[in-house]
Amino acid sequence: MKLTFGIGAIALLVAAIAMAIYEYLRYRQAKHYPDAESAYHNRPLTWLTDLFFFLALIAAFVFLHFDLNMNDEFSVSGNPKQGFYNLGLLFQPDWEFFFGYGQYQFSESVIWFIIKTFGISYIGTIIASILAIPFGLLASHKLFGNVAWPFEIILIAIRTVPELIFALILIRFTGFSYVSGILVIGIHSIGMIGKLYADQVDGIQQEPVEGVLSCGAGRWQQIHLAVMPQVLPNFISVALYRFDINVRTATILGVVLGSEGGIGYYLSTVASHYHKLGSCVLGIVILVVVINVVSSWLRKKLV
Amino acid sequence: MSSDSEATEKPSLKERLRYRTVTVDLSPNQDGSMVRSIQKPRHLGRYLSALIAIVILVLCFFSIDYSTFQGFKWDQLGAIFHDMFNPLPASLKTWDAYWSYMWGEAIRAIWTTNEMCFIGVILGAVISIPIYYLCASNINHNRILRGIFRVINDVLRTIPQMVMALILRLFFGPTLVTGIASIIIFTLGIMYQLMYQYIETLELSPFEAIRSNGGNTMQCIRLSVHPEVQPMFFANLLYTFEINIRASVILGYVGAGGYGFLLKTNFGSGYYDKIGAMMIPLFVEVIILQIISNAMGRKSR
Repeated sequence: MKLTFGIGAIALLVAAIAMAIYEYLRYRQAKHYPDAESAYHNRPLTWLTDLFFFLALIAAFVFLHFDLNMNDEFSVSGNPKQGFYNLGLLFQPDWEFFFGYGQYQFSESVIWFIIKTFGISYIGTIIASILAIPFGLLASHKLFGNVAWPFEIILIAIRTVPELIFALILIRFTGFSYVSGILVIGIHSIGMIGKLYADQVDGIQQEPVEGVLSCGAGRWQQIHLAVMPQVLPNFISVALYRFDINVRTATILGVVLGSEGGIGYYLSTVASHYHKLGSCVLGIVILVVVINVVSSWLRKKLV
Repeated sequence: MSSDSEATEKPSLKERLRYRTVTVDLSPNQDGSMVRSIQKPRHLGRYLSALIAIVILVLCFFSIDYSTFQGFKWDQLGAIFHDMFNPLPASLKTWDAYWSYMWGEAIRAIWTTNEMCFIGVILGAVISIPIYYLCASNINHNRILRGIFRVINDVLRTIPQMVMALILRLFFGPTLVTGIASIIIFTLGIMYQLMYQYIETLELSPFEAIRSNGGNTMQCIRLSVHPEVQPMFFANLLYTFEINIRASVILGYVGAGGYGFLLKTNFGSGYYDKIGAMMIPLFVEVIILQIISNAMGRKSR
């Protein structure tokens, strides 16, 4: 049953792709029809390709339904009534836990952990945005030609590793501490910041570079005098954009980095105390919204 | 620019803060025949913002608990990679076991994650199709409707995926359904933002041509905009799929199964060689997806 749908999905997909290739090849050749009527009757059979594609999708979904045992998963999953009750608990945050008074100290409150999270992402982003400048310049094909390839591959490789796996690896190096969080964000962000920097450098106006070149400047002087002044506001804008993302990343780092990794520590430890979880979620939403608004406001002012 | 005769009147404080007056010799031979005083901007705003950034940076260092940091373990740096890409005596003893773990359990976990992401991404993308047409300002001229959907988009993208998964776990429990539902919501948020921003950059002359031939809005979209955005839709779909595969590591930590769950158990037992064996297939898959989605013409960001 399961296998039938799987094979059926693949067969239909192959048929759809074959149809599409056939229609494409048929349409490559110039056809001259005497009138609009005959051109209409000889139009490509796109609806057939679409139908095969659609059926392949349905067959694939049925296959996946049986392959993942979704019947069992749905029967195990809780009832929605309990879910709404728990959601109600989430909207009654534990204020003592949030502000750190009463039975909680300030150093274990949500506010303090939010500050820690902010600190990790801020320091990490500043380190990354400075370290990414040489990578971004070296990965630009316009400035360095084929020399840029290895650096571009390094940037792709950095981007490929998920942050959490990066954190798991770095724990052995720096321990369960603040420094691991900073290093995870500082090194992982280089991948994307460097790529966006390289895009900005590729998009500059060429005239200032040629002007400096005609006065006998070397490559370093070109970058210093003609490239950097053009791209610096864009670089800051990219760093702010990435800071926005990094704050979101830093909220989950605590899951593996322990109590020094920020608010994620509470997301993993108090996940079944819904009042406390509610105060954590409130803190995260406030942090992310504030950073998002400030970052987009600054970016609008810069560009 | 102010000449010598006007220099006598005193500039206001705001003016003096914004500009400084510099005396320069503009004559070609530098003989003092064309001395002028020029107002140069001071860029106080730039210095102030740099100062604020540095002050925030210094304040961040006060939140560090320095006692937990026991120095960089440089000897561990090489050992991590050795442990990850060699079979350890504690867990997988031989190379045969390493390879069979990689082709057996690791690939199976990645396959489960892929299936979850496939269902989530397809459903999320299908839901996003009507919404991104409603969001695009050059197709939908109703400002209120547009505003509502954009606010929903902001809310969806603001909540981190782990928080979303934790909230959904209240309803579905620690099952695959939680994972799929959070992938659907995550995909929806990314997909319709990318697509409506792309639609807003389009030239809509085919749209107007069909409109002038008497088509209603649905027919205009079906015949002009839809074929034009279709390639970008599929490129974004692949990109979102790749993001989801990377992000689904976190779903294991809320108990939604798949790749992250196996990773969590291996990490808890300290089986670094198993983590390494799980990383290689993921790495290969994500790089291939990135190359394909870039070749399909997706712009960065």
